[in-house]
Amino acid sequence: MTEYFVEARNLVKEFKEPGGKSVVKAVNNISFGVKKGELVTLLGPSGCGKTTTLRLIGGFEIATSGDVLIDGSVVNDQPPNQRPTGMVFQSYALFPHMNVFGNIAYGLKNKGLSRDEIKKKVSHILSVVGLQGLEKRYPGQLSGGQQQRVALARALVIEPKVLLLDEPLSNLDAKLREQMRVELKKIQNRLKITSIYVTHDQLEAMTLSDRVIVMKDGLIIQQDAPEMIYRFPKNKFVASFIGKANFLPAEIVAFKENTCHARLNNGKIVEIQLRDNHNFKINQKILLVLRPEGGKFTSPSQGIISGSVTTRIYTGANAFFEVTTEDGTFSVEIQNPLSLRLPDLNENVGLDFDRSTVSVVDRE
Amino acid sequence: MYMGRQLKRIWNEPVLFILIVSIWLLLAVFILYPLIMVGMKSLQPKGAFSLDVYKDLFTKKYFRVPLFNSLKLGASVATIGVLIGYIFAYAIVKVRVPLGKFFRTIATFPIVSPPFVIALAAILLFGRNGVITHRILKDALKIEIYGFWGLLIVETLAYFPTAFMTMEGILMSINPDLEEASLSLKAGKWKTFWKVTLPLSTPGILASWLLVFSQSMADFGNPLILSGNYHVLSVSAYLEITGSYRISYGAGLAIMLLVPTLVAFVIQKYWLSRKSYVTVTGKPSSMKALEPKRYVKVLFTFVVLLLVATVFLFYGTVLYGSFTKLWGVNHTLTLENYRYAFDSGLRYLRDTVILASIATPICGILGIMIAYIVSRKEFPTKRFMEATSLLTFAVPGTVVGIGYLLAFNQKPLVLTGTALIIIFLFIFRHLPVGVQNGVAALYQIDRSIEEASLDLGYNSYQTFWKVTMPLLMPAFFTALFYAFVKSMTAISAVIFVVSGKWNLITVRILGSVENSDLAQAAALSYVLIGVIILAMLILRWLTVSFSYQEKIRRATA
Repeated sequence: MTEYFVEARNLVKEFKEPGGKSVVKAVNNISFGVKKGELVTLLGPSGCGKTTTLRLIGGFEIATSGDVLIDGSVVNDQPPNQRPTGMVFQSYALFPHMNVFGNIAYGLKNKGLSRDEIKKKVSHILSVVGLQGLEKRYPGQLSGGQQQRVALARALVIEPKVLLLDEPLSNLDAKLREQMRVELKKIQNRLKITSIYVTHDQLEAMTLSDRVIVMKDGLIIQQDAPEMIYRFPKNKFVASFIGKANFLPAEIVAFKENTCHARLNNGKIVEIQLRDNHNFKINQKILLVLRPEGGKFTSPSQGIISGSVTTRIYTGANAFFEVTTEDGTFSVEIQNPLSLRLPDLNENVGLDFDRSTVSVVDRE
Repeated sequence: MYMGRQLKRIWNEPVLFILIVSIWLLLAVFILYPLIMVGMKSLQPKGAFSLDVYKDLFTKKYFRVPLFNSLKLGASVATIGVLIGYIFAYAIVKVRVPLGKFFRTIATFPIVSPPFVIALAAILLFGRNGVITHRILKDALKIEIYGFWGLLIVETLAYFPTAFMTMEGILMSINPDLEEASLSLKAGKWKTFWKVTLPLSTPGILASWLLVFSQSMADFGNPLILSGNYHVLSVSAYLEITGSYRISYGAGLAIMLLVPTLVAFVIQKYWLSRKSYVTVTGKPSSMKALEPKRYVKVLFTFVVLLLVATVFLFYGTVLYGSFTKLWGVNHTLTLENYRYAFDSGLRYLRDTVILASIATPICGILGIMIAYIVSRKEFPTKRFMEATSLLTFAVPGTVVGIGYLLAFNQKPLVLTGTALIIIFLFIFRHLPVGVQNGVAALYQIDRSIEEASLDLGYNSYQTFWKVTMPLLMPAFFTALFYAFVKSMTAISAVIFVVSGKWNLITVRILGSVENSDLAQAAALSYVLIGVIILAMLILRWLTVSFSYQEKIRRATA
C-alpha cells in the first residue's frame, strides 16, 4: 500500500500528429501521488501535458502505458462512469437542454435516490456554491461565474472521492477569477475533498494548492509545496514561471553547512541558502535567482551589482525599476515606495536583494 | 498494448461493446456482403473463377460502348452542371441578386423531387408529341430528345443544384475581407475574382465536379426513360439482368460503374478535403458583400432568371400534363388522371409510404448512433467503420440493387420478395446522410458535455440517449427528412428487389412512362411530390417542437 489516494505510475500518452505519422508524447513517463484530502495543482504552460494527465486520471483518455491508481486499485480499464471521480470542465460543459436543477440532479438520478433526497442534496449544494433560487434557469441564462458554480456544484453533489478541475477559472474575467479563487479555496477547506487542479495560472496554483506539480513538455519538472517552489525553484524554467526572476551568473566557490558561497563576475562573494538535498558541486557555474520584489537600492559601491536606472514606473502601491548593469538588465519592485527615497532615471545605483528570496539554479 | 487497452475498456462497457459489434454486423451484412457478391458473381460466372466476363466487357463493342457513354455523359454533365452551379451560387452569395432566397428554394427543387420528373417533362416538351417540338414548332426542327443531348439537358437540370449547394457553402465561407484586401491593393474587381475568389473556391469546384460526375454515372431513372439508343452502364446492367438474364455480365457492368464513382469519392473525400483553403465552420463569415457594378447585377439576375424559368417550365409542364386528357393530342383539362392515381395507384403509394416510414426512423437513429461512436469513442476499426457507413454515397444504386438481388436470394439470408429486403435497402442506402450530418453536428458540440455525463456515472449508451440525442435533434430530423424523401423517390436500387407483393410508386410511374401513359405518370409524380411536401411540413413542425432551444424559449417566456 502507498500513502497516496490517487497515483500516477509511469504514465505515457502518445498522440499521432494529425495527418502525419509522427507521434507526440503529450505525457512522457510521469509519476506522482495525491494524498487523501490534499489539493494538488498541475501547473505549466499550454501544451505541457497537464490537461492530458488529468484526463487520463478521469478516464477520458486511454494511457499508452503506465497505470492510474485510485484508492489503491488500478483503474486503467475503467471508463469514466465507473471511476469515483467528479470533473469540472474548462468549458463547464453544462447540459444546455437542462435547467440548473436538472444539471445538478443529473448525477444523482442514476443512484436510486428518492425525489426528496435528490431535492435536499441539490438545494444543499446550491447553498454551498451560493446559487439558491436559480434552479429553474437554463445555462444560457446564467453569467459566466454562475455557470462556473453550477459546474462545480454538479461535480460536488455526487460526492466524488476525487475532484478533478480542468482550468475551471480560465474563462472568467480577472475580477471574477480572483473572487472564485478565494471561494474555491474556502469550499475545498470545508469539504476536504481530494482534488487535482489543472491551471496555467501560477497565482491560482499558489493560492489554492497544498502541493504544486510543475510540468513542461510532458515531464514533471518539480513537485513541492507552493512556498518551496517559490523559495527553491529547481531550474531556470520554474524560477521564471513561478513569480518573476532576474538571473545573475555566478560560480560556487565554497559550501558551508546548508549554504554556499558564490562568486559574481565582478568578484563579489555572496552567501546563499540551499535546500537540504541539493546536488550542487564546487566550482559549478550557476545562476542566482533574484526576485524583483526582494530588491533594494544601495549606494553604487555597496550592493552586489551596480548600474544605472533605465526605467522607472510608479503605480501607487508599487514602483517598478529596470537597472542596466554589466550582467544585463535587472528589474526591481519596491513595495510601499512612499516611505523611501527612489532613484531618478539614469541615476547610478547599487542593487542588493533580500537573502531570504535568493536561490540558486543551474545555468541550463 | 494500446489496442489491448482500448479493447479492455470497451469490454468494461458491455452496452457499448454490444453496440459496436452489432453495428459492424449490420454494416457487414447489408453493405459489404452485397458488394462482395457483385464482385464474386462477375468473377465466377459459372461457379469457378474466370475472367471471361471482363474479357468480353473490354473487347466486345456491345459492352464497351456503355462504359464510354457513361463516362462521356458524366463528364459533360459535371462540367456544365458545375459551371451553372457556380454562376448561380456566385449570383446569390456574392452578387446578391434580388429575390435570392426565393430563387435558391426553386433551384433546390430537383434535389427533393422524384428523379425522373425532369425526364418526363423533357418528353412532354420535346418528345414526339411534345408541346414545343410538335405543337409550337410543328415538327419543323428535328429535335431528338432521346439520347445524349436529352440526357445532358435533363441531368444537368437535375444535378446542378448539388454543385450549387456545395459552391454556396464554399463562397459563403470565403471571408469578404480577403476580397476587400485585394481591392484595397488596387486590383480591380475582375482581377480580384480571378486572383482571389476563384482560386479559393477551386477545391470546392473540383469536389462538386466529382460529386455531379458520380451522380450522373449512377443515374438510372432518367436514362431508362430517355437514353434511347445511347446506352449507359446503369441501364445496360439492369437490362442484362432483367432482360437477358445474364447476371454475371450485369454484375460485371455494375463493377465497371462502381470503379469510377468509387475513385471519384475517394479523391473527393481523402484528397480534396485536405486541400481546401477554406474551413467550413458552420458559422459563415460576416455576410457583407461588395456591391457589384450595375450591369454585373443585371447580367447575373438575367442568367438566374433564365435558369429558374427553365426549372419552372419543366415542373409546370408536368403539373399541366397531369391535368390533361391525352398529352399531345387532347389537352382538355381533367381530374381523370388523379382519380386514376388514387384508384389504382393507391396500393403502390401505400406500400411506398409504409416501407419508407418503417425504414426512415431506423435509418436516422442508426446513422446518428454511428456518427456518435465514430466521433466520440475510441475503438479499433473505427475509421473503417466510418468509411463503410459512408460507402453507399459512392456506390451507385444499380450496384447496390444487384448486390441485394444476389446476396439475399440464397442462404443464409433469404429475403427476396419480402418487405424486409426493401426496408433494409432503404435503411442502408440512406445511412450516410445521418452519419455525415451527425458527425458534422457533433463537431460543433463541445465533447466535454458528453464527458460530463460519463463522469457523472452514465455509460455511453445512456449518455447517447440523455445528452447526445437531444442536442442532435436538428441534424437528426434533417437526416430523417432526407432518408424519407430518398426512400420515396428511390428507383435505381429498389427496382431489383421489388416484387408483386411489395411494389413502389416510382416503379409504377416508370411503368406508366414506358406505356406512354404520360399524363398518368405526371399525376402520380405530383401525388408523390405532395407526399414529400407533407413530410417536409411534418418534419419541420417536429424539429421546432422537439428542439431544446424551443423548449427553453417556452419555459422562459
